[in-house]
Order: sequence, then structure tokens, then C-alpha cells
Amino acid sequence: MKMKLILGFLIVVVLVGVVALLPGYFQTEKPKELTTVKVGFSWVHEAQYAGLYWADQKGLYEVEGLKVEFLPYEHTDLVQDLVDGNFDFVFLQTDALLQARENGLPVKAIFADYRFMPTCYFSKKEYNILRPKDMESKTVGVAYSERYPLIAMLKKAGANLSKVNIVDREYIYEPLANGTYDVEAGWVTDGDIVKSAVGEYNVIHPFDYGVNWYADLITVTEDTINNNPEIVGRFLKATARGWQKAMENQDEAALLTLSYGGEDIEQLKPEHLRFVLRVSSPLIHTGDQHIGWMESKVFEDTQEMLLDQGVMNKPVNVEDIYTVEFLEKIHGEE
Amino acid sequence: MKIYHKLTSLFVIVSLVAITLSGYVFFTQGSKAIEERTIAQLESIVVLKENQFDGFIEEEIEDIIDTGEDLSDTLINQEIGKIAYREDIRRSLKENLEEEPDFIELFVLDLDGKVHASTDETQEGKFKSNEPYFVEGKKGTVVQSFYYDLALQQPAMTISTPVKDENGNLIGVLAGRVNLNEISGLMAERSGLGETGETYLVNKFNFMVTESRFRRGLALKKAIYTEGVRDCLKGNSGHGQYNNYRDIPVIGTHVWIPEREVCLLAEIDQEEAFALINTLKNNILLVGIGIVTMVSILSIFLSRRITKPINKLIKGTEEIGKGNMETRINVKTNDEMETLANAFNQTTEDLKKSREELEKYNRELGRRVKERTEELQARVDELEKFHRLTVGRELKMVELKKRIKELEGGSK
Repeated sequence: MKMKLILGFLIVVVLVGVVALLPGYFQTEKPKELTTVKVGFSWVHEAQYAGLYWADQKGLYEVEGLKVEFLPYEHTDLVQDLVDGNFDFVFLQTDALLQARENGLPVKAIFADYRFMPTCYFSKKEYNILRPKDMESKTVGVAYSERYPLIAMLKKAGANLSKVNIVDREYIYEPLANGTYDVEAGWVTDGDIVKSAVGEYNVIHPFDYGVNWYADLITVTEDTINNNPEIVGRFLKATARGWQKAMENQDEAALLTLSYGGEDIEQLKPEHLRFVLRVSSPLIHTGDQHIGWMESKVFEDTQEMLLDQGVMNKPVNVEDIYTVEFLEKIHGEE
Repeated sequence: MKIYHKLTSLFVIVSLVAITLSGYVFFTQGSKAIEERTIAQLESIVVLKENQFDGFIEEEIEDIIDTGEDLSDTLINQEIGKIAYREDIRRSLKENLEEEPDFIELFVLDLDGKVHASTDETQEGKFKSNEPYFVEGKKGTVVQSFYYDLALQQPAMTISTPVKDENGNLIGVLAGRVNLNEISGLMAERSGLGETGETYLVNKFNFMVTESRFRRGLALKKAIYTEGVRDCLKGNSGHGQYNNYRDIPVIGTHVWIPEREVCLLAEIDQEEAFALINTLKNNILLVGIGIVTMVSILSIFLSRRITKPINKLIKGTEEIGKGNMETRINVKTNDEMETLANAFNQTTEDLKKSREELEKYNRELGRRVKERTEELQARVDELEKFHRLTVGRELKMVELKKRIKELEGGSK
């Protein structure tokens, strides 16, 4: 009799458990409503955005309730696009950010993709141009902001600036190959393209001569920071995590670029994408700080350089142009 | 349910409960002891590695200080920045580097942070003015802990010290890049760590700074947020069980080294650490199953031993019920059951005697009744005879009287 009672009790317990658990088991999860954010790139789709691709394709943005649209660069004014609300986040270089602030535009950097400047100066190996001083009596092709670190570097290294012929360049390395330029500026990520154009080459990095700035700063408006800090935080959390994973799995992360369509993508080869991320990784992830971290000294030095070269007319308070509050929160949580 | 089954079940259940409880206690205590032993072993390894690591760095610091002093002697009354002496300094540095293979580069910076002379000539002329080892190195001997060196394109650690002239004036900074392979080598030494154990360093930004023995190229690339690292980066030392950076369950111990701002971890896979516990568990299980089997067999035997005389008693009772008073129960158990069986036999014997006496009495009674009946019958017969005789006379008298009356009537 007692056995029957115990058995009965156990059956009741099991049934109650099953009844209690089944609804949860079969319950269909209500689809999360995702907030769409638009990110304006400073370049075409490239492995230099691998961290964001990782966050996108591995569902990190979705976990944060975001649907992120990446919009490659189309030669528009990214700062103005950001202020006008065409993008929620844009990638800017430090000089552009400083100039925007000088012009009173309320934009702020929240993450530095490249903590070391990827801008560098290529030359043919046989020219033996190993130091800035070796550029004296040489023609150097530069575009956009590549001029500023070049001048700063030459000055710092004690080269005679008047002896260096600085000319505007196109985004091709043909002039370097045919000897029109002795030195041509570019990003370190172009190394494999330069090699295929000119063969073995030498490269001079401005950061080796005490000239550095942050590149590809993820920038938002102050309005977004003040009114939608949660979205900024969630976007940055997924992005920072994406970069961490991309650094750990570089080959896989680099090839994620291929998933984004377009004419430019068709030209990208896996070897190139892997090269881009491999040479970028030491500049993105320096090991002595969190990925994306920013310090005022770098902004101060850049501002000093731009003021010195007359690119900026009046200084801005560098503390106003960036914030690490979101990164602090993310790493605090981790 | 029969007593036999009840007894057998009871014995098995009791033995199961006893074995389970004792097995559980034995297992938990055994596991705890093994875990404590593993942790103690890991802790001693962590202490050993910490000492080795500290010793290595201290040795390198001394080497840099000695080299700096040598350089000061060489450069007495000479200014580092002068090109004329660059080759002398470079030669001196190279000689020192040959004696100190733990460094991969030695270089001297001028007061602007420019590399004046280096064992790697390609580095000369570069500016390191923003590097902590230069900024702090002007004030005293410092160690810039693990960072990614862009010039070397690899993780590095740099030790620097001021270079002063005979009057104690600062004339430059001597820096040496430590060969991190030596530190990775120290960490990779696995004595006492079994097959799966490893020790590694993590910096304050959660990055692994020495190479993993399981996957190359993770130094300063892999960010680790395990329970052990989290606790360690709070400045704590301790131990725990958690999933490591490879998402493998491990037992780990950690210690925070504040001078170097790194966390030293020693971990071993739980699977290996608990292999002994699993063996213990299997042994306990096997012994338990063996004991339960033995107890079951014994319980069957005992139950039979207990229930057999009872069954005999039942059968005997049934036989007696059928009237077979010759039934006797043979139980030789030397216990209460034998006493009960003897009592039963005695009772049966007594019952049999009583029955026989009763039967004898019945028979006697029957005989007496019969005798009495016969006596009575004789009396009845006599009475009947007498009755018949008496009645016959009366009838004859009545007949006679009737004849007399008739005769008297005819005469009238």
C-alpha cells in the first residue's frame, strides 16, 4: 500500500514537472525588434572593418538588438552626413574630427579602430630610402591628410623640408612603379598592392618618428550620445567584442569582407584581405590598452601638428572631442 | 507480498541506502582531498613560476643597470648625441648583447627620445619620445611590461635605465628589449602540470602575453575573461574551477604580480585532475555493486533460512488441519524458530494424546451406552411381554364378560 502511495506521488511529481516545463519548452520566442543603425565607412568594404563584420555576421549586433547597415564611402562629407542624420555612426580620421570641432560641429569619437597611424610612405627597395632624411631631393606623392604627418615627421627627423618635393597623388601606385615618384604615401594595408606594382619596397612609418594619430575613429554626434546613449553603448559593446574576436581569428575575420556585395568586393582577393588584417592588427590591437581606447595626448599632439601646419587656426579642447565612457562601461562589465 | 520477498527487498534496500550513503561520503571526501591536493600543487607551481619570473626580470634589470654604468664610463665627458661616438656606443652595446642573450635589442636614446645607437641599426634615428620606457626611464630604472612593439612586430617588454655622466647629469636612456621567448619558455615548463596543465601570463587589459602551449600566436591577441582572470585582475590571488580560454573546464590558481601588472595563472584540465576521482568513483561503484550483489544473495539465503521453518510450520498446521496428527516439524536452527517448531510439535503431540483419550472415552461411552441400551431393551421386552400378558388377560376377561352378558341376555 505504501509502495503504491510513493509510486503515485512520484508520478504526480513527474507529471507536474512536465506540465510546468512543456509550455516553456515549446514556447516560440517572440522575435526581437531590432533597431536599425547606419554606419558610414571612410573607405570601401575592406578587411580594415573586420571587427564590425564579425559583430554583424556572428550575431553580436543582433544580440544587442541592432540591425547595422554598413555604407561604403562615396566621397561625401562624412561629418556633415553625420550631423545631418544620414548616418548614426561614421568613421573619421583625427584631423577631420579636429577640424569638425574647430568648425563647431558637435561630433565626438567613441572608439579608435587604429590606435597607430596606418599611413606610411613606400619607396622602391633599391632607392634605399630608410629614414625621413633620405627623402631629401626626392619626390613624394601624397593625397588628402597624408601630407600632414609627412611634414611633421620630416621636421621631427631633422630633414630639410624645402628639399623634399611633395606632390599630390592618385590612389594608384603606377607613378611609384614608373619612377614619377620616389616615395608614395599610402596605408600600410596597401603593402601587397605596392609589392605587386614595384616589387620589394621600403616603408617609413610616422609613428617611428614620434608622429601618430588615431585612424578610423568611430564618431557620433553629441546629440546621439545625450539622447540615445543606450544605442551607442550597445553598438560599441558589439563592435569591441567583434574586434576582439577578429583579432583572435584574423584569417576568418578578414574573409568576412567577401560577404558584402558590390563591384569593389569582386576585386578583393582573399590573400589581400588576410594581408590587410594581418598588418592592421598591431596598429589596432597594441596590447598595452583595450582595443579602441583613446588618450588625450594623441589628440593634443595631432592638434599641435595641424596648428603648426596651418590646417587648424585655433585649438579646441581635446577633452571635448572624444569619450571613453562607453568603453569604460563595457570593460567594467567584462 | 510474502515475507520472503519483503525480507529480501528490505535487505537489498537497506544495503543500497547504506552503500550509497557511505559511497557518497567517501566519494565527496576523496574528491575534496584530490582537489585540494591538485590546488596545492598548482599553487606551489604558481609560486615557483612567480619566483622564476621575478628572478628573471630582476636579473635583466641588473644587466641593464650594469650596462648603463659601463656606458656611462665609456661616455664620460662625452655627449651621447654626438654622431662621432655612435659607432663606439653601438659596438659597446653589441658586446653587451652577446653577453646577455636574454635581450634581443639594446639601444640608447638621446634626451629627445631619438634612438641614437642600437644593436639593430635600422632602429637608429627613430623617435621613442612617447614611450613610457623613455619618459619614465629618464627618472630611474623601469620595466615597461608587455606591449606590442611595432618596430619588432612582436610582443615585447622593455627595461630602461638613465645614463648619467660623471657629475650625475642625465645624458640619455639605455633600453633593452627582453626576449619574451625566454619568459614564454619559463611559463611553458610543465613539470608537475601533467599532460594538460599550463601556466601563462595575462596583462591588466585581459590579454594573454605569453604563448599558449595549445595554440601559437595568441600572445597579445587573445583577450581572456575567465573567472580566474577576472578575479586576478581585481588584485586577488586564489583558485577555482571554471572554463578556461579554450572553454575547457579547468582547475586553476592565480596570483597577481603588481610590480609587473600581470596575472600569473596555472591551470589543469578537470578531466585530467579528476581522473583519479573518476577512478575512485568507478571503484566505489564497482565495490558498491559487489556489496549489493553479495547482500542480495545473502538476503535471499537469510530470507529462505527465516521463511523455511515458517513454511514448515504452515504446512504442518495445514496437515494437522487435515487431521494428520502424526505430522511433525523438523527444524534445527538453534533459535526461536526451533523452539517454536518444538512447541508446535509438543502441542501437536498433546493434541494427539488428547484426541486419542477423547476417542477412547468416546468408545467407552459408546460401549456403556450400548450396554445400557441393551439392558433397557431387555427391560422393555420384559415389560412388553408382561404387557402382552396382562392385556391378554384383560381382553379375555372382557370377552368373557361379553359372553356372560350375551348369555344373560339370551336367557331372558
